[in-house]
Amino acid sequence: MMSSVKRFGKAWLGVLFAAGLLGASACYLPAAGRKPKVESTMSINLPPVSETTLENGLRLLAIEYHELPLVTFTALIPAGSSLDPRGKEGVAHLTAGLLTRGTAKRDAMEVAEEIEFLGGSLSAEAGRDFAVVTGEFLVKDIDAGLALFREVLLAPSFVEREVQMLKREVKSGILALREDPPNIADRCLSSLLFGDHPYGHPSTGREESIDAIERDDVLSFYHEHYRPEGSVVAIAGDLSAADLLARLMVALREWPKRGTAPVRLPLPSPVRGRHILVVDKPDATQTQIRIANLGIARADPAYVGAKVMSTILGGGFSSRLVDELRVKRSLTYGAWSYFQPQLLPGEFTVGTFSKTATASEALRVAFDVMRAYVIDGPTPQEMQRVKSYLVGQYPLQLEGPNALIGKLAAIEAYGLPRSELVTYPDKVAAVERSEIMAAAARYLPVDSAAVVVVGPAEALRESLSPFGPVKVVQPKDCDRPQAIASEASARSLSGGRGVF
Amino acid sequence: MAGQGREVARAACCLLALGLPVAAAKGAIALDLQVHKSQLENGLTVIVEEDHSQPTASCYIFYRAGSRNERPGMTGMAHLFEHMMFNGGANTAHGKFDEIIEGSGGSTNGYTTRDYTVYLESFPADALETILSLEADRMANLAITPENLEQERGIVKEERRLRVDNDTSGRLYEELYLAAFVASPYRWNPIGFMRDLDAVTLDQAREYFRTYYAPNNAVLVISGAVDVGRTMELIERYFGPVPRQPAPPAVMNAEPEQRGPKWVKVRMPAELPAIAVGFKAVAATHEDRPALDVLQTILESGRSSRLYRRMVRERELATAVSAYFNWGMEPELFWFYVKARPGKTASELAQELLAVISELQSQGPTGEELRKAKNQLQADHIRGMKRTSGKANELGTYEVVFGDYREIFKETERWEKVSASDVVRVAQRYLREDLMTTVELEPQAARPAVSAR
Repeated sequence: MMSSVKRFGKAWLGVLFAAGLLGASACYLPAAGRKPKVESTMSINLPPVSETTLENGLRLLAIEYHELPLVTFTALIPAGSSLDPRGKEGVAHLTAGLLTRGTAKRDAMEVAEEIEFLGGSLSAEAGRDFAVVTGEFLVKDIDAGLALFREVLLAPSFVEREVQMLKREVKSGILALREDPPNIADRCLSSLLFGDHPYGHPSTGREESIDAIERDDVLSFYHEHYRPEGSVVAIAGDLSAADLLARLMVALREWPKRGTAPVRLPLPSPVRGRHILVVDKPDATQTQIRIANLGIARADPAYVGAKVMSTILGGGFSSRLVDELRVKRSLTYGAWSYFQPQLLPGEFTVGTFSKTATASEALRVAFDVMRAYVIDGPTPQEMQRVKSYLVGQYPLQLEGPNALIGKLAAIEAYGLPRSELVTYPDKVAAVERSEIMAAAARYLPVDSAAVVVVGPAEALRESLSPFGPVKVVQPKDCDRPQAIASEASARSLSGGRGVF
Repeated sequence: MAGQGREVARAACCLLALGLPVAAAKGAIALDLQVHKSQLENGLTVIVEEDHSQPTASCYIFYRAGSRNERPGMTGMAHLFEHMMFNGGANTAHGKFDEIIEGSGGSTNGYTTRDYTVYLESFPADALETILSLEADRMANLAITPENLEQERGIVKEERRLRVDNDTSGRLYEELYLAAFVASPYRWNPIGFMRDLDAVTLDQAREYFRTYYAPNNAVLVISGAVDVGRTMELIERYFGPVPRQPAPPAVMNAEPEQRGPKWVKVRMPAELPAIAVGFKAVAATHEDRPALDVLQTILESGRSSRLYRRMVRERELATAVSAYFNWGMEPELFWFYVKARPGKTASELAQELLAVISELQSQGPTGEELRKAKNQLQADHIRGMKRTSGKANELGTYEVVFGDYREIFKETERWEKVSASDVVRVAQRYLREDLMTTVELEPQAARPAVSAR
């Protein structure tokens, strides 16, 4: 808002590396004898990771960071929005938000005062798979910071007044975001693609489901899902690793084991055929476009190949989508593609936007680019460039203590082998053309696709009909899954084979 | 090698006293940056900061060319030009600029403010020479072609539709500056007006390039795992031959004194009302600026801030509230954005906002509140140094806006010196009705856009 930036407004970079990780004293070389074109001879300077598992089952990781006098810590707890009970969507998000709004010792304002007086930060939020609690303080304040961390994690009070206040705040936030076309597009896309699968609702919940949530729902969610077994806590700071680890152990060893079994969610299934949802914004002069289908789980061995495939299509500034939509035709300011890395397969999404008169042309070009890619595959130059890009940007993804432990904790939480810390760039360099071809054929949403278009329906409807059956809804319908239900979301959960 | 005025400032200053109302020495923090500054004979200012913690580096080039250097009728030029620069120089094959950088493992981008335009890359340190040669090539001889201009014109118009025309808060932000300022070159948004973007000619683009994209109008910052001597050699080799140009024309700021509040309505489809409220304040180098930073922090930073507590929490009038105070080369606005809760009106928001300001003006901050604000500002100052990109950006910003990167080391002390009475004084002096402009978003029922733009 403060300045005009040349490039994409979309937070596309943020998702590129959401689970690309790296760690201990990595000095990596390309796998022997393979793909000699992309080599990384860089050594990444990282101290070793110290770790332990507490008696309550909590995994702790510590890494030294001496560049600045800071300490950062993060907890990943399997308490994400995919565990929201049906009809109470949003309870995971409220539970996370309430952690910092009152503890056994301090009320909501006292918690905020204490954090902010130290010039620190401590916040919690729920994604689909995990609740994430993250704090950062000056290292001289480590005791106070960890005491707060312990309090909000282990002793939140969930007072009735705060529950009701946060419900109202979240609901008005949902309303405010309904003015924002990119947000409408993303919100509707989840509903259209995942239907009533637990990945289908926004983590904030929906207006009606938030109304249905009471304090007891939050308490039961907390007691069932905030458990040390299955959670990971990582810390980085300007102290010795042994010291950091010892302090974490003291802070969190009394977190009681719950003994509850991990929840097993059904697998989502892809949409079949094309489903085009037009969300009507009669006043819009620009149309938001999303094309998606089911992607790949982060821990799938084929993930890295799929990521290289997606980066050639729509990552960075020299991708095929940017070249065809932006550079050659000036149809848009931004075009991107990405896999949402999660425990279960999340979405693979292609996104762009264009003035309404050229929206259908942009959609056609996007489909054409994908179709050509599936048939012809990548060029050797593209493979080399994108591999160099991903390998070269890798250490930059680890700058700063928060970035470092974010990746460290995620690799553990996704159940990836620890070797991933060191071998991720090697894996990128070793991706074969055949893997890219296979990933393109399997994941690109060409003939089967969930398509969301946000713009003036009257002007769009006719020009979009050649692409498939069109259904028109209102922005608020994205909060009413039954309103956008189609054959796409009527796919039952029976396809799921019960994993995780 | 590198002309006159080479200096080395090994700065281990920046003593912070954080979280300690009394003692200053205990818990003090030294921000240790090894910075080398020099100037080439063609006037290019170079700043190199060595940081070998990772084998990566960042390159930031600042050109003193922002939307303040524009005039009515040619708004958006600085930002449009930023786009054109990504087509690379004469020695870079057409359309290959991004490909070469990404193929070297780097990433690149740019941004434009009211004061300057910045080009940035983050990359494996061994790609330094590639990056410098590309940057020097486009500084020396950008390929300005009709195709390039038309391409970027279309892209920038889509950017405007995204950020301003179809975004309620972006629209309010543009309208606030247009309403508040009369003759300041900060009036218009750096994105420019649609018709001005349509009107830019190739000749204007060439003239603009000649005037502003000169070594003597730029600051080059490298931060990361580089050797200063080797880096200076490369910079001399690639940038040394680029000729100096006459200094760009001085910026005219004839903003008259405001004499009374203004209230502007913007009607567009929206779910909830909102207001943007701006007060005419000061430039970054003004002596009152640090106290205004503290004031902004007390009012807005965090859930314990006065505005969040009152407007979001206690009265439940606002969905969100924020305060902004940019460090500008010209006098900036100190402004607020408040999004309503359902059923609340713009006038209720404005009334409560002014009530919170008025309480601070009459009673002042508590001692603890003042200490908290300083702790927040000082800790954030440290946090900005986590990445080489952050350091390069900070060093360049200080050099351009303050005229000397070493000012970065004085900031902590400046905030530390702010007293409770300073906060009251600047709140009374600047946050007053006579200097106030309010833009109200009045939600309308959605109807088809009048223009097809």
